[in-house]
Amino acid sequence: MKKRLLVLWITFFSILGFSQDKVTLSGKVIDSNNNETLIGVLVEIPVLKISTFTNEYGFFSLTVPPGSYEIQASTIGYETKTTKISLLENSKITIEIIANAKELAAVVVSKNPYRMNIHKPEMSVNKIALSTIKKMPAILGEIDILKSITTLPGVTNAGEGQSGFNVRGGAADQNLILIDEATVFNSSHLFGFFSIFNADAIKDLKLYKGGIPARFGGRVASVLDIYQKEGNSKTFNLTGGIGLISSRLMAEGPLVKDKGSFLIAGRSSYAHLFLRLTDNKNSAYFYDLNTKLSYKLNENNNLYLSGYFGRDVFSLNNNFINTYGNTVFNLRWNHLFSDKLFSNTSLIYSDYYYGLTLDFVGFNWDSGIKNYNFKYDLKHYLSDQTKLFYGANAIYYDFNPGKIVPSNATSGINPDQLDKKYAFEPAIYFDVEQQLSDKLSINYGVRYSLFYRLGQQTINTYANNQAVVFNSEQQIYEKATPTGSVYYGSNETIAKFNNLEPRIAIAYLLNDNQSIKVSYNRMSQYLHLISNTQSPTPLDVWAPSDNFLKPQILDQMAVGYFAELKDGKYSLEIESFYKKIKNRLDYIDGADLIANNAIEQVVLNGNARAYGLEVLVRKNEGKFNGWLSYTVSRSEQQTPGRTSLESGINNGAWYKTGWDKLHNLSVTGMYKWNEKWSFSGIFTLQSGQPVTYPNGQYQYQGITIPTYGLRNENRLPTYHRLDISASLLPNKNKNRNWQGEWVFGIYNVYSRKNAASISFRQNQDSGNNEAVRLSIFGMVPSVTYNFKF
Amino acid sequence: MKATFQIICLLSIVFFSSCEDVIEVDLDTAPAKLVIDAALKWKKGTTGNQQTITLTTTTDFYATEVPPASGAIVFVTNENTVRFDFIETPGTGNYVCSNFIPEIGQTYVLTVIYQEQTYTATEQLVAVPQIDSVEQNDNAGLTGNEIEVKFLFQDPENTPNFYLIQFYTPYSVMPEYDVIDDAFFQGNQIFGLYASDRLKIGDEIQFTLHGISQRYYNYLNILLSVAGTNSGSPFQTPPATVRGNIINQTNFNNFALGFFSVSENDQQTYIIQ
Repeated sequence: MKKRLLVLWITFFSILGFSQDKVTLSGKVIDSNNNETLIGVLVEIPVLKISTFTNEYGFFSLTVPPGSYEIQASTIGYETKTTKISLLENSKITIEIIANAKELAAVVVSKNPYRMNIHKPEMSVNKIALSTIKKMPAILGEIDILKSITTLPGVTNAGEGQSGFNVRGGAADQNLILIDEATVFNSSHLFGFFSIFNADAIKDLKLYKGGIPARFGGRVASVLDIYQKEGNSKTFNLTGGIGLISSRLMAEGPLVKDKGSFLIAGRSSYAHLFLRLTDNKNSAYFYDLNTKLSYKLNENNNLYLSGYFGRDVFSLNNNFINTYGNTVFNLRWNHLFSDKLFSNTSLIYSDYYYGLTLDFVGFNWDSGIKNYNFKYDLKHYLSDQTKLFYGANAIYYDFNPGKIVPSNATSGINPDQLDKKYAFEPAIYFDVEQQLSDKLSINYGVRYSLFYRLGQQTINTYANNQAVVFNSEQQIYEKATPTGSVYYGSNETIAKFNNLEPRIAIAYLLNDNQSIKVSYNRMSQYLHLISNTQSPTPLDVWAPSDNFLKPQILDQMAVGYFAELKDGKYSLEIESFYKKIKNRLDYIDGADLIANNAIEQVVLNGNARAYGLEVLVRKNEGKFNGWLSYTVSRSEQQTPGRTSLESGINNGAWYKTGWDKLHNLSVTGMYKWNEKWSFSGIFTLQSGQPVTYPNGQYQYQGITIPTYGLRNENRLPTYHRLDISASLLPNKNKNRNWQGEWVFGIYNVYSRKNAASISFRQNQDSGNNEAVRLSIFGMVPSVTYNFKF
Repeated sequence: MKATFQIICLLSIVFFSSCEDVIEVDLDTAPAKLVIDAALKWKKGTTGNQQTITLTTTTDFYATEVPPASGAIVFVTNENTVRFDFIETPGTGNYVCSNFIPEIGQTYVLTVIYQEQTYTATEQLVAVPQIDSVEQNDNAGLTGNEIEVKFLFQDPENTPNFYLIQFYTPYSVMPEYDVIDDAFFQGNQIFGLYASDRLKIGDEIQFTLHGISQRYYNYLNILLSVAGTNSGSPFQTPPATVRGNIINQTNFNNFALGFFSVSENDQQTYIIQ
């Protein structure tokens, strides 16, 4: 029945399309060097003032009256291409565009691609071209996508050496991170010092901070949508880099010339580099592997198979072995029903694994999350005013909160498997992009998401359905004792939820150079990262919503002003947002989350809110270009008592989250001196991380115990840092067929001792109390040699 | 498990060229509160008649002396309403009793009357297994060049047990504590482990194993994490003032810090060979 409806629907819209006296031009935009399809290229017919952007697969479709036209294709880092075409009937075209010679990049963009953004209702979205990211200073010589997005307004990292990133006051677990549409659960290597994304293998990335389209769901703060390259289908290529910390190598080439291609990219850090301990029995390193196969079946069908595998490994004397990382597999099929109807079917598997062996305590520990995802997405280019996006998505989750087994015969550990958890999350969505008039355009849509928490599992029951009880004598929250338990069989529903998530974004063009935009979105998140530390750690486990852990529901409003100055030389974006989240988990004091089989006994559902103002000024052209971003914002959390007799967590008062940054300034500059040398720098200045300092001490059983007031009332000292880099592109030696490049970098140029933490402790020798600042990196120079065959 | 977690946190810091400096940080001081340090301990093989309860107040974080709380009335009663009085050694805040009678499973009630406020707490005396043996391993620890000493004991079967372990070594002026929940070790041989690369032949380690109640375990678990060197790191849980089992009967909101516990313990001293 559903299928028939869909077919009917498609027919209906097709008829609607054809009924007008117009023709459709559709096709792809590709890079002339390697046939790589290009995302987000502006395709425009200037005479008609009609334009569109290529989608995630390089596809576009424009419906226009018959005639002869000039078509322009432009994007950052490429020369604008103008093609003449006589359009009398529906036509297909592949537009090849040429990368700017020697990556002159933004310098000679004749048509400014930022420009169109002021017309689109899309707001709170940031894109950084990969070519730009590659020119930004890299920490320890490793190009880092996540570090580069923290130069954007509204995006921060909780602190040095802390995993993940925070968007508009959201927690790190509220970001949906997609690589080729597959969810990635942990985005960092080495506790946050590197991102898991190998920039060589990445084609495009886009960060949605608000106004999130209905096709995305499942997280409440942001969507980071990353696409891997398909690989060069023209010639075989080898690229790589050798650095002090890590090296990388990528091979790409045609499988069948112009029809199929492959890409394989590997990256690894050197095993012993980080260890100050010189003992050879120790190691700490990471590696990852990106693969992709693309095959064009025919004009209307394309297949893509992609994979990612990454691991971090720490090993100390074989006593302590820690391994963790993500695995992603993904099969996608692009099918064109017509020149106006594009479809994509995805089958996705992804998992996150965490393993630990502690031989001196005598156990092995395994935990992780697996998910199987089916997605069907349709993009319907109805007319030049209206585009429809609709589809369905279903995810099955398999959670392993932890399994413990003795690691040797003499171990005193009893084997145990914490209850495995299962869940199913289907959703459907419908999104419309509509040009209502020359000045007014609108995106609106809705997502309907469902969540089923499934057996098999035995679930505890509690008196009054409360897994946490309040001890009014001691004024503390405590674990409740289960009154019994209920067994749910395989696939039996334990709890279910559904949410209707409306999304809307409106753009109003004030004049050719200025627009104002407004957006609202509601989103729901059914998964929770169980973590009560200031920053997530790799061993934190994910838990599904159930009768005790309620789904997080977000409402976000944003307004913005967008302007092009000096003929597009500069652009200005100012946005303000307000968001509130229901059911943000908070943890009772002293909650022990590791190997806890009854998480419900230590959590309460609270609220979160964040608001702020973001400013982004870009200089888009010239030898010197870059951007300045400034954000003033607040991010808070509150867990009031459930009744008036309860104190709530932190006395029920709002408190700043660990990633609240009142001020956040970032200046990124790039300067192209000549054909050989270019320079770049990033300056970051932000409020210190909120922390709780002691407000007294006492003695108990011979040790000193600090006393504390309310949470996160203090801040670490202001954080600031300057990073610079220089790259040298030597003259190409005609006798060799490869091109090299040197990149020299300095991290933290003036060696500021930024506090990663300040701890308060009793000195073991004197017994006196002291404050100790931990700073992680002083000045760190780096050098990397990149090559391309 | 807590220890495991701390190891992981430590690692993340060790791996990088981090540096630690002692710095000056100005701190506020909250109004003083009464602190009742009332851990009654009955060492195996002794009468347990001699007990001390210490009353102090909270003070400025950097202060090197803790102010004693003098002039209080302190006594403990058992189920049979036998009263054991604790008399202050004048001006010290130490209240001493020399006729206390410990009994396994007996419930005791502590009463403290200080500055016209009455505080009470109730706790049962928890038994402890004896320390069976001691093992020394010279190639232990994460790096393989630490000396490790294990004090082994047998966990009783079929009952949840909680332990407080305490070490005194020449390398710290204060005792070092850890708590153990037998959930993962039910009925097995468990050990208290001390490892350090500073240990050398001839060093003396004193190990004490206390049997404690679940409530005391929960309290200490939070207390030790607040007191630990891990505080202030990115992996720290939000610190809070830890409330114990002592209730102010006069003014509920003016609570006292500390805990009233009654536990049996076993002690062993080991000399590194």
